[in-house]
Amino acid sequence: MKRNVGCNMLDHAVSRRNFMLGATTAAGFGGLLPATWAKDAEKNQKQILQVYLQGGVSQLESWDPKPGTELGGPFRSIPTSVPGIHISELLPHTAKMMHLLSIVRSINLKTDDHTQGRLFMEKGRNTGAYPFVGAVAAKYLDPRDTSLPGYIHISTRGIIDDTAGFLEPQYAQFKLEGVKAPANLDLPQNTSKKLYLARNDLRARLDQQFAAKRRKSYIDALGSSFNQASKLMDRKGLFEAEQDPKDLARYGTHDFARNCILGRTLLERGATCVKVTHHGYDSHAENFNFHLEQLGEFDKTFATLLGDLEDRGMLEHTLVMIYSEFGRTPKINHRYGRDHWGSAWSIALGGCGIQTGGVVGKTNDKGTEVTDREVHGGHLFQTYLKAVGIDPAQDHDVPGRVIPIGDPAVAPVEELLA
Amino acid sequence: MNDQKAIKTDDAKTEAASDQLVIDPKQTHQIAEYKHDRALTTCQLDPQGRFLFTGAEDLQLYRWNLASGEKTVLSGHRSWVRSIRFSPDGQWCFSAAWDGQVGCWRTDEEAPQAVRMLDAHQGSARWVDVSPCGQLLATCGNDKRICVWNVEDGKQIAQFLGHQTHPYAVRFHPSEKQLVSQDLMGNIKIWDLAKNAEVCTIEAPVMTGYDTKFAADMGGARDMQFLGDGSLLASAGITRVVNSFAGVQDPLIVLIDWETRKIIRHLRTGDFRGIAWGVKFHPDGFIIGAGANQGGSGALWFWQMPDKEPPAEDQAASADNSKDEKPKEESAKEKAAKSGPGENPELDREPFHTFKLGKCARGLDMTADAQRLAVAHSDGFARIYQMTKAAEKKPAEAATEKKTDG
Repeated sequence: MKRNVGCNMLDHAVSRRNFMLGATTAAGFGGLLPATWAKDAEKNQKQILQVYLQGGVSQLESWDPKPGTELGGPFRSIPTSVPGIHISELLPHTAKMMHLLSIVRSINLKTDDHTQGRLFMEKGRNTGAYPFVGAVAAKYLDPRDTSLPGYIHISTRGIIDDTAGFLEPQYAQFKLEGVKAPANLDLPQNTSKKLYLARNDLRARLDQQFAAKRRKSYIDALGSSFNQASKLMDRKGLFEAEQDPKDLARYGTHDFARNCILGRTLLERGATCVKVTHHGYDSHAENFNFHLEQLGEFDKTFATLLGDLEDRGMLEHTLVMIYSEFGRTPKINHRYGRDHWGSAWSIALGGCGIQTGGVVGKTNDKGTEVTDREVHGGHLFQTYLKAVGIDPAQDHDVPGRVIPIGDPAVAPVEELLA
Repeated sequence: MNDQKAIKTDDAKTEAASDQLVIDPKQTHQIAEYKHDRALTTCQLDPQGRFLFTGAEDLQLYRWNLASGEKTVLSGHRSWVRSIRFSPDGQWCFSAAWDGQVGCWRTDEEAPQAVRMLDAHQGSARWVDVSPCGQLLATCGNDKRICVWNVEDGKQIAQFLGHQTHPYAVRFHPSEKQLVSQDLMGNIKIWDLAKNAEVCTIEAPVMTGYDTKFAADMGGARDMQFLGDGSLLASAGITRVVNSFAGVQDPLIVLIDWETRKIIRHLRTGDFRGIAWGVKFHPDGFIIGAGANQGGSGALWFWQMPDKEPPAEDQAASADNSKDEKPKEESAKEKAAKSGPGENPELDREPFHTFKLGKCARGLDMTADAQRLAVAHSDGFARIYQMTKAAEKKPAEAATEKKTDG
């Protein structure tokens, strides 16, 4: 019988890796950092910051306001730091940073489903087991000696996705459940550091023997997971550090603010892709009150984060994405809500590789249809990658298979690229 | 301006017979409706009973002549009108809008222009109230301020700071010595007008909920009313948040004893899921609520005043049998939410009568004679409901209806 070296091995690899990292990674990177981490930050490799507004932020209450129109809702638009560009009054702090961003107002995903929309925006394909943007970035941009996982997702609740697709599991998202110390950070009570190292050494030698008759990539994935876990455990003290009160005063003290501070720190320490999720935009009821509250949290915090990235020179090598899985219906329902709307909505991009201060695409006066430069998740996926120097026309580095990184049928949104 | 004719389903004047003037909530029926082409947001009757003013999901304030149905458009706001009030003599109308402005209008001018637009708040002006003497306005807004204005010259004469979240409504106490405001988190603050200071905070956590799935708070007052002598305060809103983003929570009206500052009643609505958008004290000793269901319908509820409630053993027998929805099987999550801190058998009361509305109610007012209710609906109609026995159909009308039905 032929030995099965397929899915089961991958499953185990993911499982072991997650277990190890779950036991060792934590929040609160605000304290003193060892030289090796500082070295990571100096590499200036291309990085990505994803700010995911989960549930579908309303384009009419954010990037594409239509004040005074039939379906425009009660909020007004305000001028931004870019003459001629107006966004919702719910984003006054972000409006002042508009010169660091560009808006895409013409997205049509042809789906109003949360999962389909999310996967299309993350994978650039509307079907198939392709890797997420973060996993692709982790594989092709991540320096091999980094102390951190390449693709880190900070979120207060769980959405389970296969983010690595057919890539090696070490490129899957590593999830932090907000800023809190994880359980099991210490070695087991009766295990000394010396014993742990001896065990690890034994495991590595057994793996070497085990790998002889198996696919190299799977064993590599296992090995890299253990090695990464060991590096993080060595820096246990960092994870227990409190966040700087000065940062909290500027960003806010709510979960999203704390997550953004952590996200900034992770990028500074060399993480390739950091995704911070802000929940609470699926407003089928009370859309306006909820957007007032949720964007009230998002706006100041995000603008502060963007300002910090600029001040520290990080925007030169960090792509910034603010996105959702879709927008919300122009039509206002009887609950003062807006429902799912993937047909004509918006995102914003900034930072590395992006020509900022512009608007791409247009919707009609009611916001019900795209009238100019329609794009979908495939175009945007290729735009993100090209912005950070990954050629989406190339094939994935997957032995024995030819898989284009981006959908060959579409192209990046060139006018967005610097 | 008269671009829409009112559609009257019945003529209120035909109901003037003396035996038909007895107030009985169980006789509630619709007598008129006024159609607009956008969903309405609020409504208010002028004290003289001539006009109904409504806000809508557009930039105008609308005046409806109750007798003729004539609609007059009052332009000047830059966003939706959320709250409307009149001076005690009915000569002045005040409107608060999401643009942060409070408009001041002459009620009965042929083509009213805004006499004044107060830049009252940064962000939405959620509420406006007029003092019993008619000389002061109170407003609240998304800048978290409670402001008091001089009606005569439009100047701000006081502001109160202290709400940590958005205040949703503000009211003058009938004594005119104090103000009360309630915010998103259910906190009710009492302010002393003479001392320009906070008196106390009454916590009403039953009126707010944190949706753990969506990581957001929902709550606050959708309407507040004082009993005429100021001894009771009623606040309408929500409770038992299960899935606020889909509108799955219960309406609730809380009654507060003004002297003790204690919550004395939770006026509940059976199996109705949604929001209570309006509350009124009726002089005959009952309380009226109006609400919107998550599915798109609405209801008017009628509860006894606390001092007129039947003894506990009789309450079950007198409980309302005309609930808006049939009991449905609850999910485990809903059951868990129901067993939360919001449930309190000592305080909870169900309505003695429920009048079903075809569409969501978003605002409630009552005529000065306390016979009729005006409701702003989500389908663009303002409807008038009479709480007395319906007029008998004249033979000719009945025959016409029968023929039409056939």
